[in-house]
Amino acid sequence: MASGKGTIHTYPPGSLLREAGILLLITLLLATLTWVLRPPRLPLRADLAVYEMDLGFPVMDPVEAMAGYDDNTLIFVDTRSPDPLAPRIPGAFSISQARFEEDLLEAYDFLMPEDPLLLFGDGNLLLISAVASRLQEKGFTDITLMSEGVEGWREAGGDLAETEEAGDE
Amino acid sequence: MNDTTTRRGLILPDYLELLVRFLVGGTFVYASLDKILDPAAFAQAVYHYRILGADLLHPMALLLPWLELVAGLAMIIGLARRGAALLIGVMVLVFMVAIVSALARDLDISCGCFHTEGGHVVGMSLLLRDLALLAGAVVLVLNRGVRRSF
Repeated sequence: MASGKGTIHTYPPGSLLREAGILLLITLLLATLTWVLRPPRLPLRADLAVYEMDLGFPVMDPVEAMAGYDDNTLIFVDTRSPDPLAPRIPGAFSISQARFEEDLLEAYDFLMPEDPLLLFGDGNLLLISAVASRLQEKGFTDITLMSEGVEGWREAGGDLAETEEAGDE
Repeated sequence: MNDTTTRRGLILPDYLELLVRFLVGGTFVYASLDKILDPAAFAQAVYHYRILGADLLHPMALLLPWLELVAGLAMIIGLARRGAALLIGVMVLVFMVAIVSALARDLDISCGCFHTEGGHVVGMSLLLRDLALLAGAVVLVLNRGVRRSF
């Protein structure tokens, strides 16, 4: 094989596939490293139900949400109907569909329209998105929904308070 | 080796080969960046084609942008450029099949080609662009022309 200036190149048999194979291996390595080292990680198996629903809001899984919780970059909003016995995510505000106006009034002094809100519930994204739409109408601009609900949060290793004492600030 | 002249292949002038490499490779590098930064949004764009199932959607959304970047950079730099051209050719063929499939089903979707949100609507103009990229990749695979080595 000649490769100097002014030569016509020949390639050994199989060099084309070998080159492509090496590039594929590099790709696989880089993609895996990025996936492992750079959270939030996209789950390897997609939940197509999330894609089916045109919710109009971005959706975040509990693992991703935990990073925001630990960094204090997200404000958690519980959209479930009030239940003093239900486990809660510590520090979360409660704004439910049933008591939307009252809940929002209670939380209003603590929330700014541009605050990054993460809405969660029992995992039904349609119910959560209904509250999200009403918050959007009230002027909130940065709203994300958490998939899989409180149970998913627990399974991902997130903190839960069993009583109301660790609830609203 | 003098017998090389009898082998099959194109002989592309230096400057033309470089131009095609930069155009095709640069397009793929540019196309990869937004997708690498936001794989979830890219997965959403891929989902809209309704071709991939739950098991393949996310792995594809994670791998494809990196493949675009690696192949595009290899082509620009000139390392493993024929392998890179082969990979890019295969990717473009896959894109074209996806576009034709979307057109056949009257899907009114964004292509997700360069940006994960918005972007070109899937249509014939995209097919023509991909055809040009495919031609570039094929030329680079076949090219055995006189050029400087790297």
